Amino acid sequence: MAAGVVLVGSAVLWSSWVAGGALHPEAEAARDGEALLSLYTVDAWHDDIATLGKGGREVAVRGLPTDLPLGVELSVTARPGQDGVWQATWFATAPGRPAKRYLGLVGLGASALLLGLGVQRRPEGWVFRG
Amino acid sequence: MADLVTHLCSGLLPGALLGAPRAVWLGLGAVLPDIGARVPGLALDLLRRAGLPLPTGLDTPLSVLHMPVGIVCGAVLIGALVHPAQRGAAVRWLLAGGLLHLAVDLLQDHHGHGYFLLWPLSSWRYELGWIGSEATVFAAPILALITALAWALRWRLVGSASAASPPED
Repeated sequence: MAAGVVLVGSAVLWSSWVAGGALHPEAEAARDGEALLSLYTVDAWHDDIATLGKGGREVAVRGLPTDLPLGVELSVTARPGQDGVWQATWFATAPGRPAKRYLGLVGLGASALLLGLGVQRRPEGWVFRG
Repeated sequence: MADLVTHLCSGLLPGALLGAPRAVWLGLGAVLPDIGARVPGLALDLLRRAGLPLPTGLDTPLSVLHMPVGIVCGAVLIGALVHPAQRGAAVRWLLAGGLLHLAVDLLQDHHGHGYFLLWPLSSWRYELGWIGSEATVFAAPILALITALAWALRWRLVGSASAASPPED
């Protein structure tokens, strides 16, 4: 019970803090001078301005190579500009992401198999074979 | 964060010395932080990209499951599902697996944006930044092979019947 209360309380505090914008790029930039846009996707190009998207949020960024294809994932550090467009100071693509997703699915399947093979359900609780 | 295969092997490889069920708890503990905190968000993102008008932030509360507070509370809550005879050991080894997960993730470089280790007491974040965030992708297949060989060696040396661990410690 106590663990549940602590967990829910921590989650509520976290959600409130995040909802207040603490992790938004604007808040990060206000604290550190620039923000990290981690694993955003190039959703669109308008001249030299890329629209990066993640989780429903979109950010316009200038200063990235214009030959970056749509759909590529990358991480960018950027400073906010006066016109609402961010200026990139560093970026890196994530070429290993597709493989990482594949490994994630394999890991998920292996974990489910481990749980399925390793557990017996009894009325008193789960019993792990061994 | 490291991939799930790496995390699972980080628990199952030392688990070859422990045997079941401790190895199972250690392995599951090593993957639960990502399964609880990251996988739902990835699934929601996929659904959004497929066109479903889902609001943002649905998975935000789950992020605490990737922090020490969530790992500890999660181990205790999962332990409540386990048979009383195994409960104490299950909680201890799930917790060990979860902390092992964090240790692996802390090795990575996220350009200074580390992990929240003291939430809800503090918003301080930390990472060691020793390896790239995708470095484990290349190590995972090798790690999986070594883990499989370790368990094969265990079965050969110990035998399938006695490969189980002694009663809970």
